Amino acid sequence: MRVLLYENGRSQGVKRIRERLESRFPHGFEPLDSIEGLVYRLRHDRNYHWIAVVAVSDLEDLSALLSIREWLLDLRIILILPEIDRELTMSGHRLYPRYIAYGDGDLEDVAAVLEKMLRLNELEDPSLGH
Amino acid sequence: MGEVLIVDDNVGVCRILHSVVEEMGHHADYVRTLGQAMKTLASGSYDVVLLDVHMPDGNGLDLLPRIRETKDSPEVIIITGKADPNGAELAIKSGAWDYLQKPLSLNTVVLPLKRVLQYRKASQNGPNPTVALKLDGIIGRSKQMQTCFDALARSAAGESPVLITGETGTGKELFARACHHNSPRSDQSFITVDCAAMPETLVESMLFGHKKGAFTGANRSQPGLIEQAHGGTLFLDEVGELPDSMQKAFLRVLQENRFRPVGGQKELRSDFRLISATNRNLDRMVDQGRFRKDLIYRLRGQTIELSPLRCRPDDIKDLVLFYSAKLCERHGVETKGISPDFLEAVLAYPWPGNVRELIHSVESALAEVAYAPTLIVNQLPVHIRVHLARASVEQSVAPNADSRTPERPGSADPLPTYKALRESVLHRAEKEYLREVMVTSQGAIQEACRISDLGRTRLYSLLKKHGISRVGWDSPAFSV
Repeated sequence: MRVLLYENGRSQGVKRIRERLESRFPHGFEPLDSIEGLVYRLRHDRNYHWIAVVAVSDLEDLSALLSIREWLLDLRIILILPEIDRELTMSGHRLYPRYIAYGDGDLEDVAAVLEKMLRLNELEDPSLGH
Repeated sequence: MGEVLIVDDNVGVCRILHSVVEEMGHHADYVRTLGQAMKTLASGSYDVVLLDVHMPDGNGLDLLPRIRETKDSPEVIIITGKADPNGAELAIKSGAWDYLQKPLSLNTVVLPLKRVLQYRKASQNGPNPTVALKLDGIIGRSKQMQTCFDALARSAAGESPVLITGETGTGKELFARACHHNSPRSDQSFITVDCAAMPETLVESMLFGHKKGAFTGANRSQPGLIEQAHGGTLFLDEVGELPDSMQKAFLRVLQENRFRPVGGQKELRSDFRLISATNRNLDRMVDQGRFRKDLIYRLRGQTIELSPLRCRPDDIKDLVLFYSAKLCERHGVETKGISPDFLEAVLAYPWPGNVRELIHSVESALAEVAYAPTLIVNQLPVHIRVHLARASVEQSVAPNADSRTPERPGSADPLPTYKALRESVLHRAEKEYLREVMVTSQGAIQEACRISDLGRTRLYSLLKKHGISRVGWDSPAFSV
């Protein structure tokens, strides 16, 4: 498993994100719906080639993620914010995401970035193939 | 007043340079061999060495690293009658301040000399720049890292663009963040642009933003990363992957600090500090026509070159100790000790994935060790142990090459003699056995003697023979 999807069930467009990932990445991804679950996952089994798609529901959710930032720093994060909002975006950059998308927009971009990241991962470490 | 040492076998050149330096208001001495130069540097105090390359007793470039390591770490300006690009590259990479070609004009000597002496004065008067740096996980006491920290301190204090180079896993992104966090813009945003992960179709809109209706799917306006970086730092990671069309567009942004969102009518202004990083050789990419020369100049205001971990083994122990303690804390477990064999193994491995690979190997070992108090070599990832085992066999068989029988036809490896083979196998087996005994007995000598049925003196002598420590097998051998 090389792609984690964090979303707490309240994220905007979460159904679309899930559907899109499921259809584009038949090899799957691992959904996590709580901060505790995410930390547990990272505590017990982690790999620095992992990519995390993090769909934030609101500023509170983002603040909770920032409080566990230490755990996330060496993951490649694609951050999906609920809407275009300056405060949210600026706070989101503190997670050092490799890409920021918005849940109220076209999520085709997320799939395209994720596909490219997965290709790069395979080039870096072919043993991690699907 | 600066102190300058001139090293040139031509007495005429020495005298001219001497008078130039003295006229600039500084003091100069000259010597005519490399041997005299080292003696003079050991006894005197110098800011700058003007060094000829072709000397009667050797090549000045070979001496350059040793000169930089003398007590005052003088800056070195190379002066040569036979300049060549490779020599110039070697000189600068070895730490030379400048590389000048004879015949010298007054200006070619005076200007770099003036600059280097100003720099020396400023660095001697100013506070040590590395003292107050927030390094946040960047570990290293090696000379290479100290050079990087100095470069980081200078870069952080300034506003010019910074280019960070180094192999994958050397910590380019950490340095970029540290540069931002130590800069006057630290309270503003640090915006990462992952040039390698951006699909070409998205790059423009991602960097410059777009207006509603600019293209199919643009159902609302969206600010780009350049706009978001206003007031802060824009970090172009893997800048060598920036598509050609974007290189041109981005160059314009750097020249004018202005850009136009896709589909926008008006130009917007963004005041950001640029940091870029790459593991590519951008000069080679320029030669191959894959990267714009004018963009390189814009990116390379200051450079920080990060050494691969294999070139700075002095930092490995510190890295292991730091990250072992940090990861134990993160996982909420007691800090583990590091056994001598673990340390020996991590020092012997070449770390192709650099610091990142080392950190994840320590993390992987911590996951294996569970509740035991000490990390031992068997907890390292298998691929590392395989590499070390192979290297150990190759090394132990190689010294006996002289006593080998002639090569076997069709075989790449010559067959060792029976005696050489027996000795090498026994040596390895003995060493492995002793390690196991020390691990099992947790370093308690009485217990080790009981298990092995060896006398204390014999056990000590065998441990000494194999370079195995008697301590550190029970609890943290190296306090963290």
